[in-house]
Amino acid sequence: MSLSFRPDLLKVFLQHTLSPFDSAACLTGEGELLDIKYESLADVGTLGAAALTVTRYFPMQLGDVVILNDPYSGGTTLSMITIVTPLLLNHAQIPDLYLAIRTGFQPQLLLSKTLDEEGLRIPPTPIVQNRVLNEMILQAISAHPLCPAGLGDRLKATLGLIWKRVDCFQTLLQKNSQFSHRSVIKDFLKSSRNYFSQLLHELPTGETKIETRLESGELIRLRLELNPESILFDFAGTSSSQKLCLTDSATFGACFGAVAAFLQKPIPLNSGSFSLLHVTTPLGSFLNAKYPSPTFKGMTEGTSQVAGAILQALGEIVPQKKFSASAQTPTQISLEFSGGQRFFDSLSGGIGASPTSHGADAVPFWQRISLRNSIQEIESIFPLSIQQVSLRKGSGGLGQFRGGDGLTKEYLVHQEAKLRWLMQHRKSPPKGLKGAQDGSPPEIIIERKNGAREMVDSSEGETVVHIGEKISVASAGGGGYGKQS
Amino acid sequence: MSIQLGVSLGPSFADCCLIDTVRPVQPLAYRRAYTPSESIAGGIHRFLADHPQYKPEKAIIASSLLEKILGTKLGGTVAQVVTRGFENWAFLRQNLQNKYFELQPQRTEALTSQDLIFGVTERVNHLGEVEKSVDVSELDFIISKLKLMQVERVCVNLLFSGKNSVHQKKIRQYFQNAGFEVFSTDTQNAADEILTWRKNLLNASLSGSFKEIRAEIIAGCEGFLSADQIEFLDGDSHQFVEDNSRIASSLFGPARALSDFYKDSPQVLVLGLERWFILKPHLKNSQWMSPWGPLSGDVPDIQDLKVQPTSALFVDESEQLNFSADVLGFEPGPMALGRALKPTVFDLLHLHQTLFHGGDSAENMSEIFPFIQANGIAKFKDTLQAMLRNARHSGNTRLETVIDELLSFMIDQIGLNLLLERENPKSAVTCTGVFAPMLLPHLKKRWAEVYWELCPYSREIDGLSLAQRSGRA
Repeated sequence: MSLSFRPDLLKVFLQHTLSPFDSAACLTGEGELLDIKYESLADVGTLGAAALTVTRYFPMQLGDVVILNDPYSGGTTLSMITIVTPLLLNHAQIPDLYLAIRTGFQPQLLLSKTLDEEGLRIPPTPIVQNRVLNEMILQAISAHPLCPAGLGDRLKATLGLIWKRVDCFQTLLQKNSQFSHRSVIKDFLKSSRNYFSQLLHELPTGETKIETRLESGELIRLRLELNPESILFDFAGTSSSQKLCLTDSATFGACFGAVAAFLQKPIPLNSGSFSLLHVTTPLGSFLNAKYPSPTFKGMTEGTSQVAGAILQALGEIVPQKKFSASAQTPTQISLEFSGGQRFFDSLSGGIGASPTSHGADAVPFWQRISLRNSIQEIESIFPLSIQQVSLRKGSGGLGQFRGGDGLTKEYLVHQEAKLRWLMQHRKSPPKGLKGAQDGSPPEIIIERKNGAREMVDSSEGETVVHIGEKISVASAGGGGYGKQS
Repeated sequence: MSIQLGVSLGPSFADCCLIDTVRPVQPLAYRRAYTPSESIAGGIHRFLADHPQYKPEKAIIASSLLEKILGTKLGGTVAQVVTRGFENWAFLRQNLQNKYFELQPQRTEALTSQDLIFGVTERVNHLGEVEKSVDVSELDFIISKLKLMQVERVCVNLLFSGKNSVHQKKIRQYFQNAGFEVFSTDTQNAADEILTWRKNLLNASLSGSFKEIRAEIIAGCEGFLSADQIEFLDGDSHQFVEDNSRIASSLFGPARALSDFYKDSPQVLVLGLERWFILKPHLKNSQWMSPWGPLSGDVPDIQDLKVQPTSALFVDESEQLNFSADVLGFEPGPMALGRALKPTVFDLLHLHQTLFHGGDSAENMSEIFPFIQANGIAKFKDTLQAMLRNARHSGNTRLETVIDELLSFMIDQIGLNLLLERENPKSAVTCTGVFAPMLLPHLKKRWAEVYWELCPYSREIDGLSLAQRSGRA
């Protein structure tokens, strides 16, 4: 039996290493990404950015850990904590390797003008040294009223998994270090680049320019050039924004995610594939925001909107892959109860129909997060009851193939609360194609105690709801495809 | 002498074992039947008839046979009664099929038809207080519709029935009185209702197939054991004769039998004929992942290996010969059986044994599986060579070298899996299952720092671990 490791054992190791985490990445100290596991568009671009920020400013030893959630240091929303730790350092033949692991907590929908109003911002903070957790720092972070609940427990559980992976890697190295030798990594990234390029060869070359005005007023201007050796995304002319702000790494994630969805084939998620994407985002535009701009809306809705615009542009170049529009951004609400509890919910919309099939009902398009949304759990924790959760029948656009239906949820509040909401597709619902109908726009209706029914008329905002009042939230339907016979 | 029969039913094999409970370690008789070519009833009956000197007093059965219908369209004839307003809730909570971004993301197929879901007016709150009472006369319409549609099984899934099951019991009784088989759970341990609802749905969906399997086993034991002497094992160590709330959990019966058998081992590497996994006998999970999403139920802690005995071989995107995530199973089986067209790990192992270990080991492999065909092996060799022409390689295309490298890569992957799953690096790893004697020398050579133990009776372990069990728990 052969005694040397096959070079692609590195790939197997990476898959095993990242698999128990919701989102995670492994990269070299020089910033070459080797593999990513993601839950959202923003993860694709930002996990590497987070690790790079940490390695630039914090000299680490094996067994050290730095945490962060600051979007301008590689984080996404403030409810997502990123944990960075070295996997290997100072080896003669192998580059330094790092793990970036992201773990999510209950999001908070705060429609703020600055990042610091959105929650607790954690800049890169060393929290573990030589595998010893710094309890003082953890306590200081946890004492903040906006600190995600259960941070300490989650961190400890994650650390246990991390150490196992670090130890396993050391065992492998002791046997044979060749499997992660520099040249192996170089070959690995090169073969990923070649594979991605082969996939692009299957598409026609072309260039297109599109302009999309978002409902909140921002303008996306995009010039997209597609050829087998590269895809160029030039966002010159894109506007700035006060509320919808993304970091450039999150924008990169949206670009890559859109291309991956469009190709409908798994693409290796590493620097080899990434090297074919060239993204230019003008400084000051909402796609390349700077501190202290708020990022909740940008990292959630914003990334979806950018990816949606890219799908539209790619559809111009490859018309046979043009599908009807999906409700790509969920309808999001939060209730901040007078007792201090904060409830968050996100309602997925319908998927656009394709030339051969109906769209799926109420499916998250750009998210792979499984939100814990058990009715029993919610009602046991929060002063509200959920009266109904159902498909919003008929909200998908009619056509030869029907757009997927959205979702309807009704909440009865038992304590005064501030209701906040975010909903896209209100003025421009997901478009049907080839003579089919558009999907229905999302809507929120508040049934007041005096019997009045107030329909919310803005894509974002807040209002107070009182005991006994009912909130009905409906997400958008997907566009249909083809004329209905 | 007190004789007991153990039968472990996998997707394609039935392992039968007889033991004397006075001296339970040594099997008295053992047989493996290939169920696609021999019925379950026939396989068991032949085994018992071949050993007339042993008269069993009881049979313990564990079956993961139903696994092969998981992921295919189930239900259709199962109705669901839910708290009004939550008719779509179970479907909306189902897993997405797509791990990656897609233009057309989809959920897994629904467990029951949406046309067979009925809302009833009732509500219990989180304190267990009744907010809206149920009026069972509402059910008459549903019952007449279901009878018209010839639906026989009904799931009753109500919110907070774990806090107060008064409505659930009332509705269950009403349907039972009308002649339906009802699936419901009064005690919801999980905070998340969907874990219980999904369990009820899966129990109901699998119920028909489970009954067929049970009937086959009873038929196979006819003349030797009566129906009430035949007990099934579920994932939580419960043995039952008939209990429709344990059907889904019984998928974990074989793993539970192994877990209890190896209760003193910190970790067990199970290299069975149909499935390879890591078992931690001292741990259990309170939920498990089905193709539709998690569901509640105490089951053994098992971690499937990435490489399985019937994993397909393919040329990957890096143009390397590799192991695919597709597990092909034994129907039509590996190429070595002469019918299938896709090469698998099983074929690789057989050829490796023949090329490197000569007659004895190769005969062992044929003994494990008596249906190996010479023309199947030849076809496998040809296919492998054709694949090699499309693969990138280090320059050496000798079949022996390629096969040796692939086996080595597989052993590395198994070791890697184990290293990442181990609780304590210093504790021993018990290796068992049909392939254990064959693969352990390779594992020992490659992963010398692990303290390996080979379990005696590895080949018979599935049936043996069941036959040794005591009376109903």
